[in-house]
Amino acid sequence: MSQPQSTSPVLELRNISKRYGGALALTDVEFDLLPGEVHGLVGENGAGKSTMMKLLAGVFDDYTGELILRGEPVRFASPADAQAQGIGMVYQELSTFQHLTVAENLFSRQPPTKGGILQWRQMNREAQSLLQELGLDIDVTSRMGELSVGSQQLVEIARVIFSGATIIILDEPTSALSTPETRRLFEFIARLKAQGKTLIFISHFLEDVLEVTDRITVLKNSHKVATLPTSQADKHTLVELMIGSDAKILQQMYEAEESVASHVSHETGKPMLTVTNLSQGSAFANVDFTLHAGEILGIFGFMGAGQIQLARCLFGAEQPSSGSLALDAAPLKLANTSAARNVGIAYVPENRRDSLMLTQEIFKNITLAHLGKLAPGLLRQRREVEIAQTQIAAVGVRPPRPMLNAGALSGGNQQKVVLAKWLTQQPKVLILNEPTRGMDVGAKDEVLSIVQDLRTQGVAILLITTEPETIVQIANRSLVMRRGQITAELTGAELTKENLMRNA
Amino acid sequence: MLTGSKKETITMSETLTATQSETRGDLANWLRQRARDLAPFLTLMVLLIFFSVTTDSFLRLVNLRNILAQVSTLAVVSTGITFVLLCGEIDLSIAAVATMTGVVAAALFGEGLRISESLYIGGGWEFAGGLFAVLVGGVFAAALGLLNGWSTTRIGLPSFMATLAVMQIATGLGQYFTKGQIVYTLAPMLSFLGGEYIGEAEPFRLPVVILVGASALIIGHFVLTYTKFGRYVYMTGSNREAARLSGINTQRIVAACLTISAFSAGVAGMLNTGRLGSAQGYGLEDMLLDSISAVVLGGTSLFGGEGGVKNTLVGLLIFGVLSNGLNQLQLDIYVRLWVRGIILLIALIINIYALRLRDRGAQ
Repeated sequence: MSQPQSTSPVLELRNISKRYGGALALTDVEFDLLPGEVHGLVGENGAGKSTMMKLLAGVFDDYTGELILRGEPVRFASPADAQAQGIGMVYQELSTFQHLTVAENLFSRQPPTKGGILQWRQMNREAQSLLQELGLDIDVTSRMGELSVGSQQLVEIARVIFSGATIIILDEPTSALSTPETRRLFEFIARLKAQGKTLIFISHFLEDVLEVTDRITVLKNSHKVATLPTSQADKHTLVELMIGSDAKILQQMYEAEESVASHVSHETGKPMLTVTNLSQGSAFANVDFTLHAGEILGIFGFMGAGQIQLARCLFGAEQPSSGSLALDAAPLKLANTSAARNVGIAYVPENRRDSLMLTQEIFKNITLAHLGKLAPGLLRQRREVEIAQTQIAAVGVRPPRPMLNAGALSGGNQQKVVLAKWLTQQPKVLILNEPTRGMDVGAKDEVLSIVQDLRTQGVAILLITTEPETIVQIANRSLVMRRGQITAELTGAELTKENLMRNA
Repeated sequence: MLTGSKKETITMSETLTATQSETRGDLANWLRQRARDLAPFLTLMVLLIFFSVTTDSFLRLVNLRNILAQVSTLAVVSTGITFVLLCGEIDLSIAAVATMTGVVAAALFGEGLRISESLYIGGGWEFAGGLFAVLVGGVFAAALGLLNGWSTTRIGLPSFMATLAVMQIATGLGQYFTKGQIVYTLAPMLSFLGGEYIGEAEPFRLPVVILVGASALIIGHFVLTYTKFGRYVYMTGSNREAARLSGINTQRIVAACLTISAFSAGVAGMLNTGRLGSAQGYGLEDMLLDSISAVVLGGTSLFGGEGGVKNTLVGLLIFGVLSNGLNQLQLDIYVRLWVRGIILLIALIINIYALRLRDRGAQ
């Protein structure tokens, strides 16, 4: 199958730049994709992976530079256009029809009809032979929702191929898969490669990238840093390329501040929250840790590592399947969120959508969590507004107007309101999910300094985030989660961005 | 220290600009904020003026009193359904629960009366027995509400389906108890509350049912505005997950609202028997749509979190004025119903546009 033209790239990006508002999401990116290869794309959150993926999928066309497909310069007008030209996307959040059969999903765009009547038998027959061709043993008459996530993903890839794609982009394909499912996917990818398909494999999981790809391109801060053959790469070099000199600067910052800053003082208080052997279905298993008063304990992991479910179990919003909790040395059973609130656990959700009533006044949002204690008897608006004003001043919400609707605030200020809500009564344990996601630097610093103040006051703080910088900046120590397991506990000099990422 | 003082100056200057802009755009802003309340109010005003001008009889004191009396039973059940809509659910069983409760209370009282007569206890039984019948009726209604609440929150049925099933149960029970008969023996208390007057001279004779309706509205308003439970209802409707993640037992709130709704439906049903002087297993079918339209006409959101009993009051008045006014116009009965439908639709469209205006202004 060695063809002379196989050396010329099937797809090239030349000098591509893309701006979102003021910020560059891609800067002068050069990229080439050889026919029949599996090309890995790695980089931190915000490095430009998803922008590049959207570019190739035709989601936007306001970029500068050139996209060359099979030797011809092209500009995709729409995702449908990109698809028509043979580029297929398989997103992390699968867009399958759960209640339809596998065959219906495969033919969802162009089901075979005769005179407007759906030809079921023909559809099932063709679908089955298509899957067989791709070496997949899946019953096409079963409903999509009955399949495992891994099988659904394989069907989705098959659908993309069926609709004519020869270049297939896989976005974080392994993040939701178990180990055997990952194996199955890799076998499938190898088979596709043998059939001459070209794949782009975007992933946070460096081992997976190292195992399945032929070449790897590393993005960092909107730039392409390198493209290298996988045979010459290992996890260490990739991580270094991904975070580059940042790591050294952070390392230096950390070393310089060591005597004053966070990591050092291990003179934290008594054990406040003890988690013993906690598991929940397929989300996470055998989690063990102790959170002390006056400590910020980080939990780092990529999206879908089980950290959110863990946090929800610690607040009674979900139930663990086994294991136990103890608060302040007393056993703790959380039937619901009210129980958690009542024993002094505070919870900041990972997205702002779940944390505030945007159409209600700020003061009502602030007094909500501890309304019972703040307003014995009947509600008096003046008293509530006073309380809110104190809280607003304490956390620095701007503009400081309690009668405004919470939806009128910026993201950073909304997050301050969420904190203010939980600080009307001093919590024992504060669980923070992604407390600074999507904020500008100023707001981020303000939120983190509030969190640090709370540590000084002796609150036990669990900081769950996908942003390693945040943990390095303020946590005393950190756990790393990967696919529902705690893979490392880092403290002191080991608590670096590099180590966090390497264990995730 | 330095950063602290800097922060303060920022805050102060921002407060200053805030107050300045507040006074400047004050009226426009206030109007926009209140769009949800103002649009229905304006609709009511327009209807009042229209019917005052086009008919002679509309503006008479007796007629205005009639309007209030006509919507009073509806006011009781609408107060209850306001709770349900505010927390973002729906209750389709109210009319059926009202019918059934009226029948149950009447049947209990009738049965009690028969027994007391056979025992020669006589009239002394009437008040206590009536009270007993009414209380049991209330408990019966509330129990159906609990069933609604349980299936919605514990089982996880959509309230639309759960209350639809309970609607059938209640309808069936009402007919089972009456076997198609009309029951004329009513607790005297119900005849008084539903059908009698206070006062003598004609324009000032006040139907007691107006007082009952007003009391329901006032109690509902008080609970929703001044109690923690009321606040939780709004917050649950506004963003259920956020409320839950703030430590609120949203399941309990939803179940309580459905119970309140069924209970108030029961009260309305019993009042209605008092107004008619009889109880029967049918006849209240319009109550469901009437009460939900009244609440939504007043500006309470079908999706929860916004509105309140004040809105419900305005909605009830729109509803009452419209029905009564069209009667005064002496429109053909076959024209009246669809004309009323069209006007209701227009009023709802105006509400939606007012809200869009507000939301655009907020951005």
